Amino acid sequence: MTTSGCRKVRSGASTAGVRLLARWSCALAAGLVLAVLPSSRAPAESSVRLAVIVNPAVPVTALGAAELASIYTRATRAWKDGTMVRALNLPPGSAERIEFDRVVLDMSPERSAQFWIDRQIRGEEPAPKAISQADIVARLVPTLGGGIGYVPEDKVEGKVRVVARIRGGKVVAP
Amino acid sequence: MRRPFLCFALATLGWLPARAVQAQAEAPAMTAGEIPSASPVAEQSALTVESLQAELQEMQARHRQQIEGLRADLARQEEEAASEHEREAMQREHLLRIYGFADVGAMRTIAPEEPMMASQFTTPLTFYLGRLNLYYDVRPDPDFRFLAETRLSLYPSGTSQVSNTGQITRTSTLVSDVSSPNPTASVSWGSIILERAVLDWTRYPFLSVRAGFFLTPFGIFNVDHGSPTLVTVSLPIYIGQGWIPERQLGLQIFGSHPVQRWELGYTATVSNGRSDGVLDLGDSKAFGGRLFARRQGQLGLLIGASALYQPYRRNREQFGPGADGGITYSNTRVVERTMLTLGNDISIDYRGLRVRSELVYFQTEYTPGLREAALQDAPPQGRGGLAPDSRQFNWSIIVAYRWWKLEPYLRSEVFMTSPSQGLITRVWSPGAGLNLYIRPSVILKASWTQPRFYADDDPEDLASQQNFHSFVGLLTWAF
Repeated sequence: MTTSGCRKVRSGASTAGVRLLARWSCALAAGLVLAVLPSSRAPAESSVRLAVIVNPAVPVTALGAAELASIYTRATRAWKDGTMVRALNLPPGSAERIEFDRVVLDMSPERSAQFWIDRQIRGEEPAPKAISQADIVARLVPTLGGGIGYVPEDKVEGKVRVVARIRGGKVVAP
Repeated sequence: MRRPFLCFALATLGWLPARAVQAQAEAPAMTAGEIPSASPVAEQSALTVESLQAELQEMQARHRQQIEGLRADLARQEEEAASEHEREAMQREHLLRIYGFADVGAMRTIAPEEPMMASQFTTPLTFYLGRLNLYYDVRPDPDFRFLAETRLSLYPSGTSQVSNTGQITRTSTLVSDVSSPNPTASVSWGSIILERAVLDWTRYPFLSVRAGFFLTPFGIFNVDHGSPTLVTVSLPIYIGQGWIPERQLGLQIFGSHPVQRWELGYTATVSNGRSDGVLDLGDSKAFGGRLFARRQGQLGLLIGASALYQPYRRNREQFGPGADGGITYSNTRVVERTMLTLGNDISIDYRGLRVRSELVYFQTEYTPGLREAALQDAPPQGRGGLAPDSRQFNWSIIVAYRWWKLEPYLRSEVFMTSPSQGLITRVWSPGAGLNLYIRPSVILKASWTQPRFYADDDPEDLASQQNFHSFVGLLTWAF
């Protein structure tokens, strides 16, 4: 369909500029068709189970996927009481980070890396601090005013509040 | 201090049970061989041995418990130390972070036939150092953030200018390196270009205040200015033509509000605008604004609208001899124009697809009697005379698709001007390229563009003599 359309445009074109424009339009159309084709297989469901934890002083009891995405892309910068959000990440490449980015931010590891590089170059706020181990996130969140983090469910200690869980590729209520 | 003690204690507690077991192994051998079983002494000894064995087992159990306790204590302390280390690292990050991006490349231009245009291009293949930008990011207070971005460059070395005789000369910054122990050493000095230097106050997400020298928040590309972020290697024509100042000195308020997966935001600016230098000498503040809606996620979407109103006033200041022998000073307005730039933009990111498109309108209107001299490329009616009012459009689109580590793309850009610039009324610049993501932060880019020039009344097709091809290869990285 695209090819025949291009031929018609070519036959009617009288100037070199219009011919080039027609060729360009054809290439653009082909590119768009290529782009909307399904690009990859759906990711396999992960067995990683995470708990999203906050400092007990943070005035929330539950957070949904959209709210978490807003916090972890720095669109939400303060809690309702005005305390600054201090989000903690796990290292890029860790199973927990990959699952969190996929489920909450809807981003692949490559997309996530590009997203934060772009933001850095624009001069926007950098990515939440990546902590090397989940145990340390579990220890830091209760001592950090406005702190929020995510850890494997078995790492949750009593000093924090669980506000969401990530199970089976979904954000569920705590 | 506590860790060596714990290690010593663990070692000691580990040695004690081992020694006790050794003693236990030796003891039964002696009683069995030397003492008759029927003897009361032997019975007594056997009882003693049994009680000793029980005591020993109890000691062993107690020591094992102590060892486990100490190990747990050690693990807890190690974890606490790691937490403290991370906490300190977070505090250090608030002091100063330095990061940036850089690029180097090679370019080859097949020059146009028209000699004036040809003079502006480097024809042979040449390597070049593009950007080496460093960011200095510091939070002196939770509510304040200072960000400066500098570009280290080799300029003005190698730049060209036309002398009074019409000869093109190249600037050399070569000087002898007098600080070098080698007396014949020389060095070419470069320069530091300030890209931005701002202090942000962010107490509320919907209201932040920025003061300083900032990138003009207009459209997609001016703030996305870094080569790792841009899909293509070149920026749209309107930025090169100066329809907006790339940077402004003044104040900016901005903010955003999250709504589900969307972020709705705004920016408003007041600045010195277009001035001859750094200060606003003509009382001609520029006012601008931008509204945007941004969606994050697998489907990333950014829709924006920008506007910038820029008056420009130039005064002629003159000292001269007064009639009374003193010195006179006059300040006369000689140029006054207003410029309005309006733009719409859309960015789409879906799976591997990236689309960037921008439509920009620019108009310039002079106050009667306060026109400036026309530039060399002014239309025939203005050449050698005064600059006319003008209206210009620029539309660009980039469609890129990332598959694996490759991202081929097509771009198209249209520029229209009324009245013409020289002979030219339209430019169409198609192009294509390929980006290779060696790592997310290291990208190799190759691009081709062919600006094509058109004129309204041009039966001999003279405008096409300005057409040229440009090939650029670029290695860029963020750090």
